[in-house]
Amino acid sequence: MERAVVTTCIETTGLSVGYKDNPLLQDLNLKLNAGELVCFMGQNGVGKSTLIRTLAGLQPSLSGQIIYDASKSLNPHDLPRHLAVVLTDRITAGNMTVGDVVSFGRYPYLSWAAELSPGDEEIINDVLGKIRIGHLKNKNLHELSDGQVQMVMIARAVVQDTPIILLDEPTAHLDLNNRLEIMGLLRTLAHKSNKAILVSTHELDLAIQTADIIWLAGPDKKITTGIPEDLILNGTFDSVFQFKGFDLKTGRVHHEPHRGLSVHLTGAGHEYLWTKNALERNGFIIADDEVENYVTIDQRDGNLQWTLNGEIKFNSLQRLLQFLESKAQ
Amino acid sequence: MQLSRYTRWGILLGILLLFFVLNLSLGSVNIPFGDIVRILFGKTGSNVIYTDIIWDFRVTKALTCILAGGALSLGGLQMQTLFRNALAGPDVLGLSSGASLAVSLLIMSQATGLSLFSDPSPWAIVIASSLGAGGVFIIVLLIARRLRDNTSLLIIGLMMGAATASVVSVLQFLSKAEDQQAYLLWTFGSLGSLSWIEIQILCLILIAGLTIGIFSVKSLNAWLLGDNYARSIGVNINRSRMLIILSTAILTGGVTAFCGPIAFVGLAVPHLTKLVIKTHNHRILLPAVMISGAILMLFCDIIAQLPGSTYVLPINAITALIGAPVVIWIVLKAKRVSI
Repeated sequence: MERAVVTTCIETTGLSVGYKDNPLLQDLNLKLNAGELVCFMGQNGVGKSTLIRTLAGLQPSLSGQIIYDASKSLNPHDLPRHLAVVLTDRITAGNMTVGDVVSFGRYPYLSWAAELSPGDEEIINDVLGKIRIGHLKNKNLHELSDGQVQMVMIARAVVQDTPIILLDEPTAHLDLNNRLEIMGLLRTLAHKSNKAILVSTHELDLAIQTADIIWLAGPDKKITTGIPEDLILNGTFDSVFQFKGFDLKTGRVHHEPHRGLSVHLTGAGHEYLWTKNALERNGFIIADDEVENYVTIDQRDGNLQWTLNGEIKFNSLQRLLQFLESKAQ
Repeated sequence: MQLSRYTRWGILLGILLLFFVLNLSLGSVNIPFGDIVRILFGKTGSNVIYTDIIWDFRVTKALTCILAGGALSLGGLQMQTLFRNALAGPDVLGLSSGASLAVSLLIMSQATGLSLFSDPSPWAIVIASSLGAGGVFIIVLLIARRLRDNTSLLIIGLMMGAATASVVSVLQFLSKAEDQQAYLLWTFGSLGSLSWIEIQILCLILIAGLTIGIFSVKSLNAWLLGDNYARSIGVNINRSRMLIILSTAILTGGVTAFCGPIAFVGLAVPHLTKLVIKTHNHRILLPAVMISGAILMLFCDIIAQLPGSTYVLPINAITALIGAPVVIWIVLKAKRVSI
């Protein structure tokens, strides 16, 4: 089988991170490759931020090695041109515009006077445009929403123009739209700009659907890696997260069929799925074969209609459920 | 309103010049304005005494105002940036107290029998004072790295101030009466008693502090993002921290040695400057804060003279009158504390 050439951007051997009296993750042998979006998941307090800080060179490791490029010739002073971070640290300084914050990304390339060249300005404007926050450039950081601030911090890291970007929970406290937008952006960056991107996140569903690789930190202080689907099917996710009443393989919350009433359902498409969802959530069993109760779904004058046993018609699922509930008692 | 960069610097320097001249022309003796200009340009005034008053008294005092105000404000700006704390300042965090302790140790050592220096030279006082300020700065910084919250830091500063003050009072208790009085006058803060040598030393100190600050522009800016981000964009934070300590210690130490512990200027001026000059960039902030500090100090001194009267109020009374409302204002808007 042929394999495409992959560039490893970070490789760790026997890496342990944490604090002397409290090692958090031990004996890690990880690889972060160019062009890959890696989602880093695990319970709270398992050491995700600590590993990110350690990989970023902001915290010493306990033991082991981190190699940032295959040629092993990277001078630690050159790390800022090689690796950018988005941390959870908040920026509290006043009098700072979006343009100012983003321009900090050029600092590894500037002299002591910190003067931006026209080339630096061009890179900044280019990135702001790509991330679609160009219109915010002259706004003060205090005027922005949490989601916008997060986009600005990501823009700052992108402006740093490094092959590696590490992000610590960039989607925390954001609404669904912002979360989707940020993960989409990171995915594009990894694939189109061939960057190695590591994101720690708690968004299980989003991570499974966008990540190329998942790093899963377990309670045993180890990290299991693999593509999302493999980790789902081999049960790694279940053992790490100990889901209560959620079946990751089907992606559904498990419902106890406490009504003890079976319904046979005929229909298609979304209508079928959501009707099934409503019935199961309310404790009914969906039977595959013919049973006493059967429901058909059809369209009438553009409105949905549910028919029970071929005679009783309902124009909303709520009415159907109420009827079935009274019948089950 | 978009004025060109040069216009804005011009306005700031114009205000400085205005207050300098105003400061020279006001005092207990009424000297005609024409005479002042003539004397400044090396000619003699209508009264010979005027020449002496202007050159030996008013010019030295006005220059001291400019140097002390500029130095303390530069120190305050750098401390606020380093600590990312709006309420940091040379006097708030006990640097002035540390400098006072060192100076009083030097002055009063004879009385306690520890004859370190028989007759302290201005240089010896400056060095002792800077060491005292730097020592307190390092202690506060070590504690601040454990407690990352504003209130604790201020309490530490207050305690450092209280502890050094108590050591000073023990020294006072053991010293001669005339030394005590000299020390008490010194704590009121004084801008008018500097010799030309001392002004030259203060000038050198301001230039040194400003130079270190300008060479730290990049790291000062980066500190605004916090130490993790600063390191991630290539700032050597240990070296930068030491340079900021050095700069702040000699600036505070120098001023405190000759003028006494002047309160509130280092704290208030950076905030007042940032109200007008809305930038985070220390390449602009450093000179702007320095000039504003000089202006504010000249202004405070004019008020302290009580124009038209023969009384002179202690300068600390005036700086506190201006500084205290600034602190209250910072605390009131502290929900979004900005540096």
